[in-house]
Amino acid sequence: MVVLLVLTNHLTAQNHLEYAFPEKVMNEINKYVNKQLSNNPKQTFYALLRSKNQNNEYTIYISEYTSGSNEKEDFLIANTNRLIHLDALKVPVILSEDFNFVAHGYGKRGDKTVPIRLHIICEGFYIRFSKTGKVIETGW
Amino acid sequence: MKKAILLVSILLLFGNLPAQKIIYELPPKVTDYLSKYLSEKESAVEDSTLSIYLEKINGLYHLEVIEASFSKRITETIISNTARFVKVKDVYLPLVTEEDILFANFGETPPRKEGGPKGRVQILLIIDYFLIVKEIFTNSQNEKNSFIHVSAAPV
Repeated sequence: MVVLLVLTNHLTAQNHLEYAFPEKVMNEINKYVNKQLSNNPKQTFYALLRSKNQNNEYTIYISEYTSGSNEKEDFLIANTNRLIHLDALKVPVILSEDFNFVAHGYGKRGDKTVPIRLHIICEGFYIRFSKTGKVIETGW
Repeated sequence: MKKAILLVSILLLFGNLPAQKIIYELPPKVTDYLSKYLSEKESAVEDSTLSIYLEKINGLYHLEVIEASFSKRITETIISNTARFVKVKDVYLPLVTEEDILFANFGETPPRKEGGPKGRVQILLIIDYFLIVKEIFTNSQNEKNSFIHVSAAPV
């Protein structure tokens, strides 16, 4: 029993990098997630944050997620260590750079060995917002 | 019963191992530049005081090698928990992204007036102050498409 208690304490002590998006953005995310949870209380999610576009706007996608559907995506979601605290649950956040720079093994292109990258597929509910927190657009 | 507890403990331990690192591999030309630079900074590499800051500006990635010790808040909040590392040959440098600086929760500030909402601590990053080496590149593996600029290196 002592071992179990020690383990539990150790595991809960693990730190994460918590993201806090502007209030209006968090409100939109909470509204969407709460609605989805009212239909399926066991639903899990992840968030994909795209780096800023040429207008200095960021886009966050909230996708429904089932572990085991894509091994490489699972790896990013399980290890990202970035999350947002919502009203109902915590959601892991992955970054668009993960798709550009993480190598998921290696392949051959001609004589060259090149890293295998994941293609970024943005799907789900999205919110585009400015650095100051203004919501520019929401949609699917 | 004791055996059962031990087995459950082991399963819990292995089922919740600390997170693995997410390794970034940058285009070869960028890695070569970084490697050359790091070979001149042996003591900093050995002391693990360097990190990499990455920001996308107008479709190009801007990369800076930064001193991890310049900001306690950034070190404690981001670098200690980043989970992302840039591979430069045999060296792995912790990664800080622009999104980390902008959206990480650095804590709250007191309300401006009594009963008002609390504010958020935000970090303003002034790159030039601690710039060591700067490179600009695309994420293309094709070296012809990978433009690189190395600037002067104060600090």
